[in-house]
Amino acid sequence: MFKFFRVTIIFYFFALTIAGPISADEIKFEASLDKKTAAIGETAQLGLTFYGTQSVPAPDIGNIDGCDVRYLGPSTMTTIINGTVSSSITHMYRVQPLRLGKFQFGPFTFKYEGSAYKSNAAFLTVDEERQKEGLSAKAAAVGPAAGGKEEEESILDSLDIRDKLFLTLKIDKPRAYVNELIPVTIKLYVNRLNVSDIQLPDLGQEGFSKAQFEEPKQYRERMGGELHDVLEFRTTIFGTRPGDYKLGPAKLKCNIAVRKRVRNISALSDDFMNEQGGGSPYFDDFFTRYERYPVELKSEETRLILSPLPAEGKPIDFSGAIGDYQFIFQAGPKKVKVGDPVTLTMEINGTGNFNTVIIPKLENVEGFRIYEPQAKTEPNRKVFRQVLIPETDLVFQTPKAIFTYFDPDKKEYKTITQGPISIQVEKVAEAPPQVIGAAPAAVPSAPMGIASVEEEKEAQGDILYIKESLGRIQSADYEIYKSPFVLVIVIIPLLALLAVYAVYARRERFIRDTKYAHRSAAFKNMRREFFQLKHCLKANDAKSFYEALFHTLQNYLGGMFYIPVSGLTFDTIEPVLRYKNIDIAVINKIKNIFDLCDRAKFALSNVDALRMKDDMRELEEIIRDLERKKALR
Amino acid sequence: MFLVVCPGILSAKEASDDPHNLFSKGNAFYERKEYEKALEEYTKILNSDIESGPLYYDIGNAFFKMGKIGYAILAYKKAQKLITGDRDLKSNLAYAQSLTEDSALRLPPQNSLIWLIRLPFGDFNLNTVASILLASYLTLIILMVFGIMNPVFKTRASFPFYLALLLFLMTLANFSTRYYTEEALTHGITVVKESECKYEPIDKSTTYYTLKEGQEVLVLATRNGWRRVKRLDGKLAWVKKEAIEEI
Repeated sequence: MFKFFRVTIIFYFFALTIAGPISADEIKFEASLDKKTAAIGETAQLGLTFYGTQSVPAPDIGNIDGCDVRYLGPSTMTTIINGTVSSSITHMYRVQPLRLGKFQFGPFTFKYEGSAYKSNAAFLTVDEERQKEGLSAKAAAVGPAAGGKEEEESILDSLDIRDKLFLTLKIDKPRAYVNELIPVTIKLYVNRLNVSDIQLPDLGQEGFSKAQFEEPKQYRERMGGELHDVLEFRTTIFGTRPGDYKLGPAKLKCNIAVRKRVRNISALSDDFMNEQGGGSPYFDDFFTRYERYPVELKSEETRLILSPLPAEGKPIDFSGAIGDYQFIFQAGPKKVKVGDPVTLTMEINGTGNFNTVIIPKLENVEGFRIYEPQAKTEPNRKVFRQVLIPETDLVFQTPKAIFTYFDPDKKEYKTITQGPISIQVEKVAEAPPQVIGAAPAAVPSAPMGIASVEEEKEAQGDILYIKESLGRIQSADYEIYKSPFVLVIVIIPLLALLAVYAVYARRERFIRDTKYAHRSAAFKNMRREFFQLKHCLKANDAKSFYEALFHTLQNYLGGMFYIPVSGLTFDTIEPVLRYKNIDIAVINKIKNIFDLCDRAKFALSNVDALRMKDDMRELEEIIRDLERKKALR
Repeated sequence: MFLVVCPGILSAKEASDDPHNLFSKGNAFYERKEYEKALEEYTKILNSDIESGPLYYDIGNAFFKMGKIGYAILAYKKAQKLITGDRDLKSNLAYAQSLTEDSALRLPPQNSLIWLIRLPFGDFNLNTVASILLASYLTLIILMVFGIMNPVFKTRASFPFYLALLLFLMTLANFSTRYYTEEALTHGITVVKESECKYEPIDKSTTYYTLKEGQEVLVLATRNGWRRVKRLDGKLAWVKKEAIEEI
């Protein structure tokens, strides 16, 4: 078995060696496609195979109109059949039709080592039927494209996205009247594409007034057998001149997030992934990244015919309002005095072009002073407020209001008359009382800015009257919390509190902590006794000095270590000092002082003021050391 | 003769400069609908470095009558600092704000904790809250001092102590939050009809949004004739200095 295998291998390499130098006559050149029909954007593989050699480089096949061609790489093959060795190299190209039609690939002519080779022609048909069939297949191919070398490919480069992402423009009425509101719907269709940063569409139609777009709706719609995500934008437009127009194209900008793959996968595995419906998610995760490409979509144009309003039946006072409206008329207050304002509220509601709605005409306005009206437009509603001031008590009703409009659906003019409304006007004997916030009676034609504001106030209420008293006056920018005085008020009581607390805490400790009380007393007494020592020193009274020195040390040590003072000698205090870990040098100093005091009782002759001073200083040092030790405890 | 007349002149001048007289004079002009003259009188009071809530209130009314909604709101806001709980002021301010073109843009809903903290002293101005805070603080200190000095008092005064402590903490919280919003942050009102807010403090810079008259903003900085402002919805931009008046 092993022998057979070894012979086969040797034979194989031998065959390869002898297959290299082959004559040009034995080389055949052939072009082939892996499919005969395809849809737009669907990929096919074109193979240019050279039989009889494996050393021919890739031919340059140039550009093919309407088709995207990419070189994928070479593929070699060696076969041994009945002892006959044959080899070939196939250069693979990915072709992708971008339009309908029949594409011809070849015949290709290729020169190699002085010889010319000519291939046959291959054909690829892209027709409507195949296009429909291929939609779903192409959608699946949105993922990875085939290839053998490490490269990046963009879906935008390789795929026609027109059937996956497109914009439509639709108007509800292809025929309308001038100034009639025409609903416009712009739909963005997205099929299996990742689209982001969608901007509002631009209708860009000159000669038409456009309203703002409503909140876009999002839903799904089936079109051509494919389920599309739809984003619907609605607005209204109206034209001001009659004519035959072409509306659009609507434009919309957005970004497409396109999968880009860095691949090192063979065409075979790519095919496999395509068959799986757009690639394996496993490979997507590892080899796919997304990039955004800005695109501007354009819709088709649509025709719109604008007709002028009919002259027949047009009322004389028709002001151009077009739509379907209701008219509500109110007046208030209904009981006023001469000079008091009466507000007429005229509300036009319904559907239509409110830009064309102007205030209804008032009839029989004699006896009233009339101000500029105030208009307020809301969705599907326009409210006019008209202030009238009766100048005489002989008016008993408001003027009547007439509103005329053209109904484009019924194609007729309509007139709504409202009022008059009865009012009661009382006569005033004196000058008319001041009306808070009333429009200036003397200037009925006041500037629009001011007058309109005031009339608005009258209609809806008004500001309350001025204050008669100046109230509590203070320095400008006076802020109590920024005053330094306040800082003092805050800090001093706090310090006082802390002081009181410290005093009472100390007092409390004196009561509760006897040792502490003794220690404190000892220190206090020691300071007092030092005065006496200084006095003795000054008087040069050695006997009294050393007696005082002894008592000072005795009292201090007794108080300090809480032991009875009477009978306290170095012998009694030494164990305590050692127990308290007092430094041996200090203990020696204490011993020295005690010894000095003992000696001084019997031999005062060799004691002078200098010596006494030194001894007092030594006692000071002892006390300082002990106090330091206390502080450390 | 001069010496006799001179004190008369002086007293007459003093009388005419008296803020109450100026205020009454301003009100008289206001009643005659001579709002500009009324404002002149009111301004004289402000020029003498004194202020009052009703004064700003009346100034706001005068501006309102002149159709200057931005300045009216500005004056009402200043009045609000002094007479915070005044119902007339609240009503007029709300009404003036309702007339601004962009009245829909208001402060975001307040945090419920902040609302609770501000609830007890909502009608007091910051000075009054500071006074209450100070009084509660001193009460607390006094009670603590007496409590330290006298243990019997300490036992008996525990209820007043905790009451003072509660008041102190409440006022402290109220004062802190209000101080931050009313003093630490600089608020401004748009006093021009509309003003374009730019991305950069340059005339040619792109317009970010437009401020309407009466609209409130936070003023973050002022530099070279521009103010860095933050609209109530948080959008930052630069606007010409003269378009915004600080409250």
